[in-house]
Amino acid sequence: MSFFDEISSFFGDEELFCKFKATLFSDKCVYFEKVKEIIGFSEERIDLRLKKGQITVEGEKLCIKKYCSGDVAITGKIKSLSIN
Amino acid sequence: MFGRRCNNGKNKKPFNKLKRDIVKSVYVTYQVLGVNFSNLLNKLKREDIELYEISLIKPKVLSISIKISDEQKFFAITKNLCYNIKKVNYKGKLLFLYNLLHAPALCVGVVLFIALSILFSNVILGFSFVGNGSRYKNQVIRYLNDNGVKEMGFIGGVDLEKLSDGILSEFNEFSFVSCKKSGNRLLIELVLSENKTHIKNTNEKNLYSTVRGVVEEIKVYRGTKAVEVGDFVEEGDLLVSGHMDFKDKRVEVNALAVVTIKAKKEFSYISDSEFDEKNAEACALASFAGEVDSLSVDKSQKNGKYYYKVTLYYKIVVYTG
Repeated sequence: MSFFDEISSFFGDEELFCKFKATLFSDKCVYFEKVKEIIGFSEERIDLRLKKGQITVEGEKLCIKKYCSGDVAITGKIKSLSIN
Repeated sequence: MFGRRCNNGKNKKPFNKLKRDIVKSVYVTYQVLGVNFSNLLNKLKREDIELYEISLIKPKVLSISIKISDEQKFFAITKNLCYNIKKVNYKGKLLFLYNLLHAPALCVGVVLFIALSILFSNVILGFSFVGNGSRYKNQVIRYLNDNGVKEMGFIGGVDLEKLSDGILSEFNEFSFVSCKKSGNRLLIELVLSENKTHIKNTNEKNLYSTVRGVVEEIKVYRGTKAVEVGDFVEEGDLLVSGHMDFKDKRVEVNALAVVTIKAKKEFSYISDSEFDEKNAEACALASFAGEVDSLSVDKSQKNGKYYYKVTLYYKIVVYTG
């Protein structure tokens, strides 16, 4: 059982965890899973569309390190993450 | 027929796997000029192209890396889109191997280079002599040639230690011989036996004998010889004169010559025994403490005592330079 599955079973709401996952590594990197697409992309702001809603990453010198099959890894100086 | 085909297929499999691994590990970076990059990124993602290192260089210039295996698919997708795409570079840990695979001429060149390097590492282009025995180099080169070591020849199967030992045993003049390979040259160090060497000053005009004996060999490179082979010379006798005659003109020079003199030294040994030659020889050799060519023992009797006269013959090399 993975770490996320363990947390999911602990909270008992599996649907909640199926929407998307975001893992933040300090303020340098953030990793998203289950991203539908990229809506906007600039050095200061990246908008990602999820199955329901969207998420915005703001910061400086943002760069998408990897983008494939629903996974997005963003590096740079991350200042905020906001979910709409 | 089928069996052969199957085998060929099996043999190719590891190579193909390696080829695939190499191709997968190489990335190509593009610069894309245009607007609305998110559309492009989403389209590429939908077509299962993995995207890496996506960053904006300028407001309308995007840098993007993809696996080289996706390159064809990438161009097929972007062909009808309004983006100006420029290839920047290739990168990846196995890029060198990838280039080898995709550039047969380069591959052949590398293989040839390696083969020639191995081949020529066993070829001797020339001999280099060091040490005070270098003036015997012509004789040593003859010995080397006789033993199959020649300039522009292969030295792969030659045992250099055995070769050194062979030279040492062939030439009595040397006390130490070392053969080493230095690049494509054979470096031969020759050290003369000290008891056979009398080094004279390079700037000395004439060459004089330092011992009493018979001239066995004489080589004059500069100057005029004053003695011949077989001549008996005393200590201080002129061997090579520092002048050269050109028609009617005499030119003063510093002699450059090598003269080998066979000298002898006598030792006396007195004993009560009539058969004490061995002890007489041993005492003479111990007193001389040098390399001896030959020896002779004369015995005489006087007043009940036996007198042994041991004569040791040895070589002295006198030279300038």
